[in-house]
Amino acid sequence: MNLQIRQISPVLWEIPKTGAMRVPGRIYATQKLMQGIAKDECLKQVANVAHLPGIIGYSLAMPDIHWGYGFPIGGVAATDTEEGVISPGGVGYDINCGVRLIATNLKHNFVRNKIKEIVPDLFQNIPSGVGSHGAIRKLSQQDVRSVLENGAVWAVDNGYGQKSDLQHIEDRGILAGADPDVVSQRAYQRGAPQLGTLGSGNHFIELARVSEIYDNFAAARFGIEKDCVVITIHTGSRGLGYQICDDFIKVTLNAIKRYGISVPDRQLACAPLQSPEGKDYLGAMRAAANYAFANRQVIASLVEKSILQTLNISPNELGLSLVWDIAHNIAKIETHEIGGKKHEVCVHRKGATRAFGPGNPDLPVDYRDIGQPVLIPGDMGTESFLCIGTQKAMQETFGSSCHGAGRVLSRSQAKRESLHRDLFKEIAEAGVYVMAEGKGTLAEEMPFAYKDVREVVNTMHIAGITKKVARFTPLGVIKG
Amino acid sequence: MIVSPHQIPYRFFDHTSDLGLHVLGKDIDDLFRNSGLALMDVMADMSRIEPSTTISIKVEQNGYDLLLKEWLSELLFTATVEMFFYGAIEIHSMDESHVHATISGEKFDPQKHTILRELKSVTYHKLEVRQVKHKWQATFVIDI
Repeated sequence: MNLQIRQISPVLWEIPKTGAMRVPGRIYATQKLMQGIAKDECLKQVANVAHLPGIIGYSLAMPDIHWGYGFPIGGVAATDTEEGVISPGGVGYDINCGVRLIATNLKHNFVRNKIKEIVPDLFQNIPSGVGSHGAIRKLSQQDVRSVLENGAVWAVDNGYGQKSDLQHIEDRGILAGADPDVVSQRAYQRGAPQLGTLGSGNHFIELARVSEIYDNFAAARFGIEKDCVVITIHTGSRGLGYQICDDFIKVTLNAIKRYGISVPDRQLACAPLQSPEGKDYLGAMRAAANYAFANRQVIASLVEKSILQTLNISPNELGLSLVWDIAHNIAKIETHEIGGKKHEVCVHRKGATRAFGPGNPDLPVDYRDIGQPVLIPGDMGTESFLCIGTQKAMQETFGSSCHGAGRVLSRSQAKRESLHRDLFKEIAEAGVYVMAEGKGTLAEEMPFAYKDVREVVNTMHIAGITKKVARFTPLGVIKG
Repeated sequence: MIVSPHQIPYRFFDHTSDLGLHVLGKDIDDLFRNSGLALMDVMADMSRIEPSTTISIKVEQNGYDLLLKEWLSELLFTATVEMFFYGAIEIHSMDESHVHATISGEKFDPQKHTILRELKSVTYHKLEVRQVKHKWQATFVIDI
């Protein structure tokens, strides 16, 4: 497929509407990033998403875009709730995979000296869940049901974290409209032993130094101080989410036949939002999202316990405070202004972060005047960023931004690059202490497998979609 | 085609975020057997799996490509949820709408077995089963 692409601005490109595309595609990227983006099949995937019935505006892609399955990773698509569809592939297998950022009172020098004690303890205390048992008891069917309905609220009610944490989680840690009755028995079975587990692949827990502040006012509001240590947790809904996605792709493959919908890739299977299949998926997806909110809440509590034990300090000395918890694989029913009118849409964010601007009533009162925190972790050897959403994001991207650095190398290319290299030594020389389940994971997740996160974040900063608040440099990482 | 250390004829193709696999088989039974073994090979070190017990697997779907996805999903569920690691597959009967097979292996033992990576799901992206000259080839992408 030979795609036409034209440059709209130094950081924005357009794929014109051709063939059966219902809207044009738009990609945020610098010239340098676009050279890499154009190399794989992700631009074709942007065009494919533009075929979805009821898609509004543009099939959007963030600068961390890379080749996924069906949707590109870094894709955003809003569909009309009356006329449009919802696509399980537009959310992905890891439903509500997301990131949590926690501020601490700890100084980086102190933590650097203790990092070789902190990281092994975290590695021991927070299981990956891959072939291991969770750190918390296996849940009963009734418990799982309660997690699916109540999300992070379940975790707080069961002693994991504080009630005040909920104010700083997207949707306050509980998505309304979750339907545990449409979740399959297999999904329940997969969810029961995995709450409080990290998973493998690119999931991680990281301790990092606040190395630069760009916006003092916003940073102060978020409790972020230069040279303090922050903790980032990246995980999602585990096997329960994978199962729900798989179950509903099968359902929607039948639905596209029933409703006469044509999609260019089976992985884009979808159902009208107003159909029984669409409503069931939305209910199941929200249930999985709630499981993921609970999972990050439980893990944060396990992290706190582990660090308190390692350092033998009081909770006040550690001073954990939840900055924000975001979902970056999700579909949300939101109201956006389109052509001067308010319009209810279903925003699919597949590897993209919600980035609501100031004044949005969905934001907690203490952040409402500055905008939503947007968490953009880089790869483990480099840096992560805290940004804020803007009004321009509301106008151009349905309040969405990038979610990470974005891969450039396939996992096998990364492994080939890793041959004859001492990866642990390279990472250690970068000042980062890493523990991973296997060398395979490490090789696949090395910095050279990813784009330059600074270039990605700067693209959205220049585009005015998100503004930089702070930069973090990793000290220690555990990977599943 | 690079043959894996366990003599399973499969190779990876480059996919930026996930794992793309091409698998070969002498006939359609052989292709499904090799695809199932390749799935386990990317998940765990198969050299340590002993075929001490067997499990019967039956799946149904219309068309070889959707049947392959169903077959691999069932094996993945058996391996990751039932924690039954298999090292051998015997296909008893199959056609374009069903597979009936026995897998041989044992319960996962963390002291004995090594997990290489967690597989989330076999996707429908690029999913294909086709006859190439006198062989059969399967293509699929695994989300990891």
